[in-house]
Amino acid sequence: MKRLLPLLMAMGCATTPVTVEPVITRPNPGLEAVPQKRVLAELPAALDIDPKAITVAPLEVKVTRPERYELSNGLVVYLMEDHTSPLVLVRTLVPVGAVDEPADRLGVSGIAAELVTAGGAGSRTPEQLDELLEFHAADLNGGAADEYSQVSLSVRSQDLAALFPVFADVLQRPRFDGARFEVTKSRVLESIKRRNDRPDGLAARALSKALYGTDSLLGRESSEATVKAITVDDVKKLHAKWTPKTARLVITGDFDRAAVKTLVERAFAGWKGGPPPSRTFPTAGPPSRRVILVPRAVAQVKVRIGGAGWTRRSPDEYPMRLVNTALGSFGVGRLYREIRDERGLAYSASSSVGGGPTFGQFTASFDTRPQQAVQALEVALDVLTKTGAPDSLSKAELATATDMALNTFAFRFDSASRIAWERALSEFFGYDDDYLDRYRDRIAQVTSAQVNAATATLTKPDALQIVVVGPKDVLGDLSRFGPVTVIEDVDAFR
Amino acid sequence: MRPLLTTILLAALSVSAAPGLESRVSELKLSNGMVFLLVERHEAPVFTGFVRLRVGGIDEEQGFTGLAHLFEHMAFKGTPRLGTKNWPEEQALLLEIERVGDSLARLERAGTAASDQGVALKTELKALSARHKALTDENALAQLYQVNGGVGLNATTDKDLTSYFVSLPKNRLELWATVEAQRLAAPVLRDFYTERDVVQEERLRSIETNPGGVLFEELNQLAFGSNPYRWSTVGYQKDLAAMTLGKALDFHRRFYAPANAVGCLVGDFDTAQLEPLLERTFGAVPARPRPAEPVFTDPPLRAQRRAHVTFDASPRLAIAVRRPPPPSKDDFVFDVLEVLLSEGRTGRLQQRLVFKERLAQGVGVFSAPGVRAENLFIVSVVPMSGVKSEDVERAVWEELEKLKTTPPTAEELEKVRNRLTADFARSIDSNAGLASALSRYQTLFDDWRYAVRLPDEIAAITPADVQRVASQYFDQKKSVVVTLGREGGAR
Repeated sequence: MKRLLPLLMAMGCATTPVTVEPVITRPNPGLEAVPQKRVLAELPAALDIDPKAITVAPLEVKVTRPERYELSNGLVVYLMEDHTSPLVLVRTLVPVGAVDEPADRLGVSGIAAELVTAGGAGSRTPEQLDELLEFHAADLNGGAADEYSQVSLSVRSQDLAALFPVFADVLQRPRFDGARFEVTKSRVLESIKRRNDRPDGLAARALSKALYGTDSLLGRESSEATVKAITVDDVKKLHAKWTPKTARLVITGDFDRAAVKTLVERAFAGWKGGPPPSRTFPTAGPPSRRVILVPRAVAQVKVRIGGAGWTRRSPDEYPMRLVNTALGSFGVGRLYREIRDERGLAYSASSSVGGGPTFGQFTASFDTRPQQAVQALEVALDVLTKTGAPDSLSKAELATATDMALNTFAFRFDSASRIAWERALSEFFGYDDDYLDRYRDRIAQVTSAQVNAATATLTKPDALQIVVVGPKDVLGDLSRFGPVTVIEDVDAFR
Repeated sequence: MRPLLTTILLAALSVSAAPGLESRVSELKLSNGMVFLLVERHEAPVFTGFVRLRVGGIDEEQGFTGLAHLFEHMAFKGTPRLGTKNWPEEQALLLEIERVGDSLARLERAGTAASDQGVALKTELKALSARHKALTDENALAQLYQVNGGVGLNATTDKDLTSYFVSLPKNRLELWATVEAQRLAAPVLRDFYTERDVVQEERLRSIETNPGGVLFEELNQLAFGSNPYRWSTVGYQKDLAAMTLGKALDFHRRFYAPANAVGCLVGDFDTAQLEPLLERTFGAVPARPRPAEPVFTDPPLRAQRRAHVTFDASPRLAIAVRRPPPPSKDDFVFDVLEVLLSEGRTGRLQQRLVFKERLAQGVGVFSAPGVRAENLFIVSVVPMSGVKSEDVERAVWEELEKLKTTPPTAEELEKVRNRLTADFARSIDSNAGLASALSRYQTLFDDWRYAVRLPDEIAAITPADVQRVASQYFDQKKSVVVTLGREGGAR
């Protein structure tokens, strides 16, 4: 008890300013050192001010645009110079993605996007292409998203003229080398074997399947069987759908615009291709509420709660963005505050929301120890339920979310590469040309009726898909949160 | 005394990675010893601010692992003017919370937290915390940044450094400088004991449920003896559970001295206008001596050290040798070796393991866990299913051995130089990237020009240097190897 005396005395003079600090040299006092008499650190007079009271001058953010033009074959080109670094980034977005894969060849779009970069192109074998690009420290990458594929080339500006025609070869005249196809395919198979190693990956995949339907264009996933079935011909067939019509070519960085236009014309005007693939997305919304339990003996449970986000180009986007911020943003959102700050139940609790062709995805996420998973889930569902009630978000919460959206807007224009890519993508998805120009007004004009509608959709209690990856025995009975489906193998989840 | 302002504008030097960079960096030393690096970029009306401290896991003591990182979390809980509803009252309560919470932590350390005394203390702490909650808003700092348009607000702790950063619209410079100077001077460690639990969750997430995390924790534990690089930055669960608030406050006093900090701003501002603001805010933080560097001697490896970790995941492995820290010339040679072996599809290990022999799904070559002390040069391999780890190891060692007898060609070295220079240019293309690089080198080496000199250092490396370093360090008998896989699975 004696030991605590200095501390208690210190409490009485807690406002005494700190004077000279002792210099502490190693080694530090041992484990059972007597607590020092202390007061808490005080702010020096010059810093003893309320940061919230600092006045902020108005800021004008210009919505800048890249130069945009079309080639005669339909390819839309965006150019934006930025001479910050001696680098140029060339990106192509082609209108073929995972949703365009045949159902028995799932995975082929990813293999195609990688193989065009790895399998040789034009007159070059794979090895010659690799050597040429890597000698010049150029990065060539390809990947497939749900609705498009992307191939990008990052080069030093000094190498642009020499390597741009090579990039055109990669897109238009890939060689699909057989040995490289085998390597690419076997690596994809290996990652399928390994995708169950990480419980967070399991949770994300289970949620996507639960929300969109395991056989729907957006919920289905590749498997060992569908990848094993893929042949080089399948890749070629899919690549044949890569077409300049509705494709986008985005070039940003340190270049001379006139010179680049000549390069583009020379390398891309002759690119031919058929019509872009047509797609029919299912129109059904998420199924009725359920708990999907993926039993795994892991030290930390992964919980993901999914709902429906906005349909692309819908006015729901604006209120849903605000509601998502109020629910799940770092340090501010209700989930973060209730699960992490109030109770220390998780390292992070957050939510995200996005748009989609039919409906987008809303996800509330947190990871927690098995023994406290039920408690954390109760808190999370309570937060969602309460938020879903009309007028539950306070004026202050909405004002915070609105300020965040408006004040971060400048960062959508902080680099040429971001500006041009966002423009290309929003045009690709059919957004109005003035989408970005009107974005701030639309955020600022969100009404409480819109907010109520958004919270009701995002947190719709009878449509929530609750995914839990964790040790079944420790978790106990989850049926109070909804009918439980146990999925031992997420690959086989149908 | 008037604060001493010194701005050093440097002569232009043409560097291929970043032409004119050196002439665009202004260096400002505040009267309390804190160094600032400022670079104007007017392309967009925004800026990125970094504050880096030369403190990390390497500065921790045994028994208190994870403190640097836990402290970084605590530095988000506000200041006496940010996050409180009644500071005098809160301050008194915080001291009481520390008394009770730290007594409980000592019982936790002794393994007697479940005793009657422990239960009583827990009850008392809970009651105090409830009273404290009513007096505070511990998210005030994060919220203030976010409503002001903060993007990328975060902090990182590694074995060498602790870094706080955010990007803001350009009209928020004063806000940034005030908040950051306040938290450097007087962070209020609110809700310490809850945050301690949060960090234990972070450990579960980053290590216990992550095969890569487990593998590298094991590798470091095996490779080092007294070098603090042996434990993970996040710390051990038992140390975290028993950490005291008193210890965290001592840590702040000792390491969060302005002379141990570097600030860096890159973006749309006027340097001349910024300097008085920085002196008024950061310059007001009381000067304190810079802490001493940790001292230890790690005995050399006499034999290969191996371990196999049983974990519910497909096999993977890592092979490591010890690597000297900068400013050793050999450190630069290892940078070259990393690229030579792992670059894209043509690096020697990539070519052999992934493309020719198809032993591996992927190969990575990198160094960890820091550069303030002897560290590790690591070859990390994800084998294809059914491939034995011994076959992977044999192929890796054959490639490493080749370098001892046959030096790389001039063309190979030129490729490496191009890669290192171009990747550096890529990394500093954004405001955040440039601020990160400059502040990192300044904090680690007291010299941001390290970034400018790097291409020349790399250019000076000869094929013979590579051969010499390979011969000296690539010794299988003194290597460290960790494999990981399922119970009863292939090794």
